[in-house]
Amino acid sequence: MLPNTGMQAPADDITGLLVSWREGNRAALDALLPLIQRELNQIARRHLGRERQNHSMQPSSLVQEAFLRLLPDRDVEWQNRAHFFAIASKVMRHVLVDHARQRSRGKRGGAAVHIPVDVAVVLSPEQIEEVVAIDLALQRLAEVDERKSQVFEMRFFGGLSVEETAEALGVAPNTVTRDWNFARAWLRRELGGEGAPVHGVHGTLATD
Amino acid sequence: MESMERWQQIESLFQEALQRPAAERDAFLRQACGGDADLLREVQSLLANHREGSNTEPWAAAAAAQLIAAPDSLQPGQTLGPYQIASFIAAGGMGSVYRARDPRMGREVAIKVAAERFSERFSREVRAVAALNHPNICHVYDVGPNYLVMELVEGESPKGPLPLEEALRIARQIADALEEAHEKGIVHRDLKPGNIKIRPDGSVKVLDFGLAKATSAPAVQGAEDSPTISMAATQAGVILGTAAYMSPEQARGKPVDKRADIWAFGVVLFEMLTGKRLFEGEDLTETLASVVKEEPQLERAPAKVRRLLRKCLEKDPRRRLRDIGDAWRLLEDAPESVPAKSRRGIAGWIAAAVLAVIAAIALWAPWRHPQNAARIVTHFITAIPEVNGLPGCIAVSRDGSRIAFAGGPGREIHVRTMDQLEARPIPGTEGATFLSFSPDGQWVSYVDSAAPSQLRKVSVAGGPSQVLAEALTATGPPVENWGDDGNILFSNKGVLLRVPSGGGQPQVLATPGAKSGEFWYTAPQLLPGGRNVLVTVSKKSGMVQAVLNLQTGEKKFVLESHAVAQFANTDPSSAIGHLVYYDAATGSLMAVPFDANRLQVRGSPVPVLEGVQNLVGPFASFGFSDSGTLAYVTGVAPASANNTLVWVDRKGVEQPLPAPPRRYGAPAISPDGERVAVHIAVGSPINTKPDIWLYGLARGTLTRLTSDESSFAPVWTPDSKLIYTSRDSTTRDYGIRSIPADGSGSAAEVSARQRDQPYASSVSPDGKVAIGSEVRTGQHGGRGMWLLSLAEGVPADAKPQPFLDSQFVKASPQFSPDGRWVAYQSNETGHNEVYVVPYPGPGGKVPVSNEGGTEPRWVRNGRELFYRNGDKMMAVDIQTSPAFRVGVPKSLFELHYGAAYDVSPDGKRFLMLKPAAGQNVGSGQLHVVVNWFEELRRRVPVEK
Repeated sequence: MLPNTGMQAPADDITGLLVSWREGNRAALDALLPLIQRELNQIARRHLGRERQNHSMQPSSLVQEAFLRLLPDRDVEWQNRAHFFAIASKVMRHVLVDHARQRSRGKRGGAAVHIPVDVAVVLSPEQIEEVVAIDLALQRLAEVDERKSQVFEMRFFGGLSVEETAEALGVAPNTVTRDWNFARAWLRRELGGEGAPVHGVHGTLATD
Repeated sequence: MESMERWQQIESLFQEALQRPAAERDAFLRQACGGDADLLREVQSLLANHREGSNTEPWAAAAAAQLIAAPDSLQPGQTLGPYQIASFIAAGGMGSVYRARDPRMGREVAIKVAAERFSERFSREVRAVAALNHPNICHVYDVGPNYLVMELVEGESPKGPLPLEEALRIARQIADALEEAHEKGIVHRDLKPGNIKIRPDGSVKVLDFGLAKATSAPAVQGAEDSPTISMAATQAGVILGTAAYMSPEQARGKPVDKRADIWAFGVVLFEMLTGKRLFEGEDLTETLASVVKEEPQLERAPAKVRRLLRKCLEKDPRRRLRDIGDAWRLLEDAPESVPAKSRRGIAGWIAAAVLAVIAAIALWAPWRHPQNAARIVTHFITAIPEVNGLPGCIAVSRDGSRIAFAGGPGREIHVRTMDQLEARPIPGTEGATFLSFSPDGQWVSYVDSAAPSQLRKVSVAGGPSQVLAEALTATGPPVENWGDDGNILFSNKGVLLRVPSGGGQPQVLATPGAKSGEFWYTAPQLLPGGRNVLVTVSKKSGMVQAVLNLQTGEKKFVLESHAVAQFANTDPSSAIGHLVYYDAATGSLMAVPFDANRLQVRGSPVPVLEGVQNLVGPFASFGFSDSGTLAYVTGVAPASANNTLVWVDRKGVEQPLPAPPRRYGAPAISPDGERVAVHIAVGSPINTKPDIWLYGLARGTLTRLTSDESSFAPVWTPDSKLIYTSRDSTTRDYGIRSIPADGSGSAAEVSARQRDQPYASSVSPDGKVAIGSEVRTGQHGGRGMWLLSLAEGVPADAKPQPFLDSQFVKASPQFSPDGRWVAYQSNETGHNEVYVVPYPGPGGKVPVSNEGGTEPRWVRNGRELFYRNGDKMMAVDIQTSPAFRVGVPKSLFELHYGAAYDVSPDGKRFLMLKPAAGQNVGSGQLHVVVNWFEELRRRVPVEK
């Protein structure tokens, strides 16, 4: 018996789930999330693990690779591709926000279960706050302008490039850039506004 | 919330404004808004928050990827062995902790998952702990390959001050737990409030019995009479939360027995009663000094328990209470005195977690001011992936809180934060040399040794690296140093340069004077005051140190070290520090006092440390911080360490071959079993020069077959030729060659030359086809397998053809002796397993290994297949007719040998590469000396 390292879902299942989700079936998303997360996990571990060869992992290639592995068909409908990229970015956002929340709670001494004290550092304390704050603000943005929140999510959490985001969403790269600029400015303002220190809560939203 | 039209209006004005020059935007907006002040304000505030440039550093995505990749990212619903993960609790030093369910027992458990497989030793120790069964001991239920399953304990750690009765009630349960463990010969070794939980029902659980020992590396013995503390709990992360509860003998690194727990019990009891720390200091060394030196002030404790405390807190373990079971007889019936409650407002104990974090911050804060009391020099060893041994492969951040090193399997930068147990690799930094921390410790600058060399910087938190300067060359090592002023000093082609740490055009600071016989400048370092730069100058006479005045351009030679030297600011108050360098002649680290004001040495160089790894020229593998923390590795890196050839039989009995230690690789036994083809490498790890040699098994003779210094990985053909990989010395391309093993002819090309590095691993029994794998560079990377025809008439520039190509990493293909099957390894399940496919096909693959496998080798009768699983040699029976069937793999022996091996024709013994003992003493171990400057000042005093 081979050890259980996660069965690969057949591509048509994924496609079916994507279509089903697009048609409004919420349960399809619940089924998709773990599939995609498992795939991302496997890819990321392969990149970071001992078997790593001579290339490093870029976050965007993580999502791209998951897509290519799960949906190897080249002529996937663009809506499916968009949804896939969106979900994968959502997974990454979820993982990060979850982690930040845990850490943020941990700092306040709320954990009742015995845990070792030296909690792994993936995010700096500022980044922890920033991730949590961005997540909340992004939810508000989604209510007003879904696409902008999606562009931001795909770029910021999913690590996708402008071109990849544009391709996935089926819009022009220029549109993505405009959405991205606007979403960043809007979020930056929501998170504390102009005048806050560069390394403060919202410092990394821009490359200044 | 704006209406939709309003929102669109805002956005279009925002976008339109962005199209205009910044100066014109305001006027445009005022006009466009036509008096709608709200609209104007809204768009203006957004514009104020706009930043040029569409690229944001994808740190969030990088962090998410890192989290996803972490072994701790088990998801609710996933299973680990029989356990069902319910939720993530926390990431910790050992790994991650989850709440999980054991469906067999129908109970909730806590699972600690480590990144690495546990060692045999660790598993053994944990099994002993698991045998403990006591209501006050957190039960360890199970040990998996890399996880521990424990009782899920919910509750609070004790916090003083507590009423006497309550404290004693808790203490009695702790004592019961200790008594039970001590009877079974298990010492806790890390008893502290954080390891004690009081459950809502009032019962007490003691956690993590014996794990401190199981996770610690062996202690180093302190040197001579110096106040060196040799950590028993060797890992800084363990030390931090522990120092205040550590017994004096533990603090001194002496052997520890159950009396150490009794000491800790005393400290815990005192603190429960008083809410005060018994031993404290501003940092680790002070705390330990307090443990070792200070007499505990027990007056604050109620009279009833003082005798008990005194017996627990005897500094001399021989005079200490021997058995925790006797503790209660020491309680005195003295009249109850009021415990010290005067300062009740003080919070008392802080939860252990918070405490350790504070300790970590306090401990690693910069120590720029000399202390009245001598600081204790603390030397400990911590496990790390092997460093690559390249120049500048270790750096310590200024405050000593982070150590960066280049190494591990991917040769990338790792950062070990001192309050963490493990070093984290920074992906994308492969081949880094000359590491240097930014003053705030948040960035590491390094030189990317891959062509073209670049000076880069990367955040310690990971993410993409940034190019600071291009096209560095090896003319003079490009050692760089990140100055206080935000500039990075480095050298390129021997010229001293300065580049802003944000990137930009490098500015030339100084050029070597060719007329005065100077070749190159390197290792620039800004001296205190910021006006002078210490630099190493290579001259015909050797390397010397000079100080350049940046304002006047004046140059003053200060030391003839024949080495690359660094300034250690061992006494910031006087700016008289030390120049430190590695002396290749004696193999020692040397130090000489140096006055950074008067720019002159103030004494003679003295050897201060031996055994530091030195692989490349004048560079040794060490680094130190402004705070005085030294980090180094000892010995020789594996890449340049000799090994030996040994036979190992199926039971693991080893018999050395009478061959001298060399850097052997890829041994291949000839078809007649009389000779071994092997490559032997010489040269440095970054300039390896391998050649193929033949070893005669009967007479023990080594004969050289190639001499181009670029031939490796030989494989026999049935007609006693060898095929091997060769690298062209000028084009640097790789190709496969063939050469008669008897030396009767010269080498001939059998494949086209290519960038990717192919390794032949097997030749078909008819000699017509070679099979192998290659490391692929370029866009797709990875590693795949290929076939190459060796038949007559095939052109010498034939291209290897992909075999079973996919996105997975496949390697080590081996033809079966009848040529009808190929065994290979593939990582398609997420880790390497061995498979067999029919050759030339068609037919599906058959899994052979079941828990990981690499490097398959057939026995020549074709009825058995060997492969490796870590250090295990595995054997599996194979049946090829009537159908292909695979037996159950069994482990023959588990012993550590280097990569690559071969099997004797009779399948009874294995030819293995054994790492030479003693050479790798430092491999995988990082020495850290805290307050090393203290030792420098003491051993290398300034001459008045």
